[in-house]
Amino acid sequence: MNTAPAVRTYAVPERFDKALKAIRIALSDMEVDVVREFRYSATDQADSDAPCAAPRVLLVSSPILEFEALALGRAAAVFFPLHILVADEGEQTRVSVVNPVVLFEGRFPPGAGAPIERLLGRIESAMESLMQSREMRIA
Amino acid sequence: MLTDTTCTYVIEEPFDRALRRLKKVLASSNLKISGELNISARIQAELMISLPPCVLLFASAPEMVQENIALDEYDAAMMPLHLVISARGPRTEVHFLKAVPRSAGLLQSRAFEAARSLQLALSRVLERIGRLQVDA
Repeated sequence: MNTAPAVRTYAVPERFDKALKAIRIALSDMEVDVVREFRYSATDQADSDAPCAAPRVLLVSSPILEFEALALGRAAAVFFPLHILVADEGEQTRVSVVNPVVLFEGRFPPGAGAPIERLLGRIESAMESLMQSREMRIA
Repeated sequence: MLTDTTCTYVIEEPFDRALRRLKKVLASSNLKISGELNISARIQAELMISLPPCVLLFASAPEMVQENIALDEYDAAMMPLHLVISARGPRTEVHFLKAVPRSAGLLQSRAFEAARSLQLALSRVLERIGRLQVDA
């Protein structure tokens, strides 16, 4: 049984635009590509006069892991690229990464599980390295 | 017994023709297709490995693109929904997510409700041009 959490959330201590740029660099350092970016409608924070930036959903992948996932069946592309939510929270930026293997019930396409977990591992390493660099800078 | 996390429709036409037809029926059905990614071309360009044609269309539920929706992580996990169109010999297969959450508490969440209505709409569209592949 997979005991990993379904969602990992990071609070990046930077404003939205700066955090988004840092996230892209951290992902790139881990050889994770942002292949598409979706911008959803902006919302107003109840406790702030400043409007929030529109949340972004980054679609991220790695060609080699994508190929591994798709080698046994194209249905794996239902999960590849993975989605990362980046949301404006004023002085900080919330980043959420969902693990579909934990979130969803059912049989995954053959060969899809391991590449999904490895891609998630790279994303987590990227985010942890970003968080460490930010903590060091603040200290 | 576990069911598949994806469902597959088969269109009895070669890839290019099936993709054109699918885009046409999607356009006439009010489903919002917000992007496209050519996966086989990307793998060819990055790894020099040739795969049969495989394209992703990204579909979003209309309620998710409305104003003033505070997106949560489950919305982002489900949207945009991937519609995978891939060549399989003289036929074309279309795959999309049909999974349910492990956590029963999420079944009634906005994200899963929206995804379910989008999946139903996609099924209706695909039944016009293809047939559902039933698990063996």
